[in-house]
Amino acid sequence: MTLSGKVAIAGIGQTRFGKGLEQSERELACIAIDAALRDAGIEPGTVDGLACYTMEDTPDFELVRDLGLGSIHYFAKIAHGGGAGPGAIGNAAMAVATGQCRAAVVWRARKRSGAATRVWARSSPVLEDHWKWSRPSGLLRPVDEVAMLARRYMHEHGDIVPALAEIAVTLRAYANANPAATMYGKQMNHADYHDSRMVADPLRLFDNCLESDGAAALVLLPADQAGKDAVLVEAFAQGMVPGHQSMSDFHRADPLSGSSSVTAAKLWSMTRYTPADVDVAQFYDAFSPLILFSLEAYGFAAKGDGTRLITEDGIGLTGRLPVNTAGGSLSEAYLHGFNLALEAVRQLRGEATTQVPNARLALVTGCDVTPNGALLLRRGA
Amino acid sequence: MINGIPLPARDGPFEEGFWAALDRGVLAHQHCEACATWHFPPRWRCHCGGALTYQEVSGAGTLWSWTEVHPPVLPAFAPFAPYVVGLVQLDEGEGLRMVGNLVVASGDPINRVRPEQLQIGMKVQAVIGEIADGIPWPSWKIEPSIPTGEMP
Repeated sequence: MTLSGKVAIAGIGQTRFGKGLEQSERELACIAIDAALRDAGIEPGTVDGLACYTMEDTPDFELVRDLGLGSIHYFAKIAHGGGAGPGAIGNAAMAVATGQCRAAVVWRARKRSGAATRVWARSSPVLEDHWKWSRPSGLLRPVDEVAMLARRYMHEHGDIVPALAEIAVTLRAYANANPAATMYGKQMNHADYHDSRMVADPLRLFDNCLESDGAAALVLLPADQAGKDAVLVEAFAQGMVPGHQSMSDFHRADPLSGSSSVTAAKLWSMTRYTPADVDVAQFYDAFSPLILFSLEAYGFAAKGDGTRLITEDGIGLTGRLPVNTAGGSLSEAYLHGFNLALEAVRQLRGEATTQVPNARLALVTGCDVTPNGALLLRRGA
Repeated sequence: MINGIPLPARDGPFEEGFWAALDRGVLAHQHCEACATWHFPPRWRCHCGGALTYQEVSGAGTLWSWTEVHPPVLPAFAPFAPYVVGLVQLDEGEGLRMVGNLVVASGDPINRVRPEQLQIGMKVQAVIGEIADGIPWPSWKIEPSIPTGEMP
């Protein structure tokens, strides 16, 4: 028994993305969920399932009151920050598929545009968790931790800087076509990338995601209650490799083969589709190397060959695999990756701002360097 | 020592032997007698099920990776930025790695070593100092004249 074809993503909704939005996170959540419910064509009172990230600050019961949702029979939070998005959607899909609930809302609302809201900047004076092993040495920020793996990758497989530049420039071009993107109207070329300041060598400013305010939501229904052309969950998997340590995943024999590799193996074992069938991919991209690592982990390139896929085969609209086609976390908005799932749905509906012709199968992934998850979505008709 | 940095709690589970060794000025990690595997960070038991005891390690290792951290950083680190942070592979076991600062001599500030002095795979040696009052931690002395010549 698998999830294949049992659950539909029947509605999507989002707020404006940007910096310094007036609304609270809670109001942003309401706006996005309300839009998703209208898109799905269902009344708020029929919603009986809710799922979100553990890092979501808005209590689910407040949203039930705010929006007039029904009696809730499934509520869950999924852990691990940027690794949680596909897990939140997939867990809600499992609840819908098994009848635990009949209409589930999954959302992410975030106000992260202020420098003081950076999670690392609020580091505790005494570290009780696993960051005690690295932060006292000055490895402070997520970008520092990813830089450590990126440099090792370069040592083992060769220069990645041209590929990182291509990722940043390609995602910016997608954002330039997407009026909802934070970087809509702001061009970037390769020279701009190389001129941007170094943050954690070898990673520059434009290897980092945006700091955004905004919210996004989607609605899950049993497939037989959605239209025949609805977007269906084809497969879902979560993964945590033994020995893994979130973000600073440095203490296994091969840290360059992380939790994504076990997530991918599970995902592909639960579907008849293969990486070659994927028309468009939405890889979690808080930092550009995560796209490179994910391309390899999910089987689109052999280990060490991801840079060639990016720079030669291409991740633009006419490339071998269009990636993060709304601009992603680097150039659309950073909502812990949740906006990536909405873009996958738009692609499969044929409603994307940079539309992949006849897209039928889309991959959505969570953060490569945390425990994570992935979703394979397909067009129903 | 830098005042005001985030400090590691010393009372975490399975860590007593780690801190006790550092207090004596030596580095020790958990070792499994049953399968001869070394472990860090500390854990309840070996993945093979075997019991773990703390054993001194040589403190010898190689530079597995590094980054140079540029601003913005936490205020305590700001006067030192940009500075290099290393990730060291200890000689005792694959995967036995520690994050730490790189120095030429014990007591060097964290920004003493520059990226151009570094080569992944170069030999390093633990030197135990205090990163804050009562918090011993290893830095890693680089030995730039003795590259290993092979990938660890």
